[in-house]
Amino acid sequence: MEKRPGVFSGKVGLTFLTPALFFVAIFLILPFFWIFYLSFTNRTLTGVTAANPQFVGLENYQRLFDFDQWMRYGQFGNALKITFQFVLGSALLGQAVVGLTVAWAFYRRKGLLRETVFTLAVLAWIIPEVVVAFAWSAFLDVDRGTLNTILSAVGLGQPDWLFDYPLLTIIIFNTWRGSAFSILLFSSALETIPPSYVETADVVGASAWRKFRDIIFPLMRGHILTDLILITLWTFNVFTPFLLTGGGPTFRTELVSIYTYRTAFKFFEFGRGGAIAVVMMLINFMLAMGYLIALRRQKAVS
Amino acid sequence: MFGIDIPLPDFWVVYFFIFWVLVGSTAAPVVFRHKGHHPLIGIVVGAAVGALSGIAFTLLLAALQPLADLLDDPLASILVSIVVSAAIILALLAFVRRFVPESGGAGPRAVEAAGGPRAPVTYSARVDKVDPGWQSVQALRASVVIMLAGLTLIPVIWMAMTAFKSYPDAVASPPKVVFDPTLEGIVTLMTKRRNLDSAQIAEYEARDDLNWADRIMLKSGKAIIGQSDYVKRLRNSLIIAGTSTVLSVSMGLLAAYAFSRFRVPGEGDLLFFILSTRMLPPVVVTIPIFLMYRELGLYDTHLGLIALYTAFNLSFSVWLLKGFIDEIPKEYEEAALVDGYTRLQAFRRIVMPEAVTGIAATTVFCFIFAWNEYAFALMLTTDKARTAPPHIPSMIGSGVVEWAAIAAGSLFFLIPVVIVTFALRKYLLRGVTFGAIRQG
Repeated sequence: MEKRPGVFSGKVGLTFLTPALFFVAIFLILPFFWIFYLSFTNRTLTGVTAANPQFVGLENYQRLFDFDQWMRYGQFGNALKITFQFVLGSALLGQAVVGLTVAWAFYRRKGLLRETVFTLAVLAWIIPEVVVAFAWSAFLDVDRGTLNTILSAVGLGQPDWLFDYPLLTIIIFNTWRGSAFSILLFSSALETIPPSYVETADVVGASAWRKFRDIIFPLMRGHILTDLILITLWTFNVFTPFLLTGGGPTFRTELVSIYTYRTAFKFFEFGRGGAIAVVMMLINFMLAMGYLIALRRQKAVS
Repeated sequence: MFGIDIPLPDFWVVYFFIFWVLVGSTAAPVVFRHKGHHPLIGIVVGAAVGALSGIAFTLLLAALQPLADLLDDPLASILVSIVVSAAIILALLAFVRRFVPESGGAGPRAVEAAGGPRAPVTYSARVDKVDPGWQSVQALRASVVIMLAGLTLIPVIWMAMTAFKSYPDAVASPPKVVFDPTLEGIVTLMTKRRNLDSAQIAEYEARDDLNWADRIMLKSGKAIIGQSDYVKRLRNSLIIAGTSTVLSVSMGLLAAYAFSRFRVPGEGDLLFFILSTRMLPPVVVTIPIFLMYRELGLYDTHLGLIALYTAFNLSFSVWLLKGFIDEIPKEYEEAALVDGYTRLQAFRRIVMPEAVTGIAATTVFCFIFAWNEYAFALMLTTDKARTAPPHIPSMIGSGVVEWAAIAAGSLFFLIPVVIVTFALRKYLLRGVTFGAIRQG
């Protein structure tokens, strides 16, 4: 939109902006720099280092990347590995594939069925995380849970889901919870494809797979990229599995976010927690940059 | 309450039969209609074949049990059963397609056989609209999707049911599907109680100043002695979410207006900067905020959480509202300014009414975020300002687990979110992508 000086001059604009910028600066920008500072100190909650934190240089980072230790249970490397598997399973293989499949299945369809499915997906996504976690832990309960009751009724085994397959369970849980975003995004992307393209393919008798591969996918590439980056970012930061497993059993579901929480708010080692937070932010920053670049490129195309 | 006490057959076996009957009766009619029969026949035959498939499924599963035992992994046996059901569905479809005879009716193929269309062609000529294989796959897909969707809803349905169960019903094993609904769980959630001995119960029963809640608790031999913590937490949630929503939307509206209408130095950078704050992981922000709040005395206060939620939601409301305001033609305001409105008047009389849907949508998203938020509230509050989300899991850890009460608490916590989401689902996608994607 064109902006003319005079009627809409700059200084008035800034006064409109001040309250918002003030809040963002105090509560988000200040902490952002503070955490960098903290990560170079040995600040704790209690004891001598609480009142007079010492500057310890890179010690926190060295402990984080101590390669003799770091793949052990409850160490940073292990948490990174688990987070990687979690993101791969839940965001890329789970949410993106489910989203694309459902969106494609309901492409050019209207009616009650589509409404029902979309509504349910959105419901799973918008329900408060504590409620979802509670409902799921009851669903997965080994003796009285709904899932195992179903399985025993048809004569199948009844594993203790949160103990035998903790990572798989939180991957499925997070896929269930997060798929709505991909479904909505992909189906709105599909709507932007001119129907005549697909109809032409129908007339020549192209199979669904060929239509998808040769028409839909190339046209949706930008949206797929946006979706992948955003869900990767969210899945990377997600804290909800903590409510299901608490990071256990024996750290087998300890994602980086849970690891940070444990270091900073269970052991109250803010210096070390800060170092993990900085590493986490760097990873986030790279993903977010990817997203913004993709967004800009998409805008340039359209 | 309704005195329902019918012994049911094993619920899940019934459920599976419903599934198979549904699959049969949705996929088969398409084929029948195509071959010139009445689709009703298809529904009946499909249902019958579906019921047979259900039996076949159960038997096959039993036959494959040794195989699953051999694998010695419950997960493998579940996978096997999925493969088996897929195979049965395909066999069922092939069977119906192959063995249903053509009829002399008015199906598409019958019309063609009679030497061209005698009546106007009312069916689509597209390949995917007339091929019965394609159509039955579509119908099948629909029923499978519905059943899967139903399955995924089980946790939530279970929760809604448990909220209205009495304590013995809630802990019954196997879980009760049919039960006497009661408000016991809700009353338990909202109150503190003490146990009564039999003499006291008799005394209480004689009194006539009891309200409905007292009577419900009296049935299980308890007297209400006060409000529970949950009421306090819920009130905190309301205050904090409400105030922070109002703040972030009003400040966001001003900022969005400025970004949309004024020449702001470094506009692109500022916008990016505001957006980037949303990319910060909550755990990361919490550490310095925690230290800062302890210094400032904001730890465990309403003000602290309100300020934090406001700041976190600002990025969101600025971006979303900017998109909405951009859509209002600027000429409206310019005309108003020429007519002698002050800028504030123009903003209030012209921009606000035009942007009202956008404001409503933004309000809802900010409210949902603040209402649902768990991690900040867990780490930055203990008691005074603690909201409902961190409180609900802690109820599980304390003493006798009142499943019904927890379920009721979760349910009531969830209802406002669901209502507002449905009211504004049109704007949902636009909301979460910060206005980057418009329809959905």
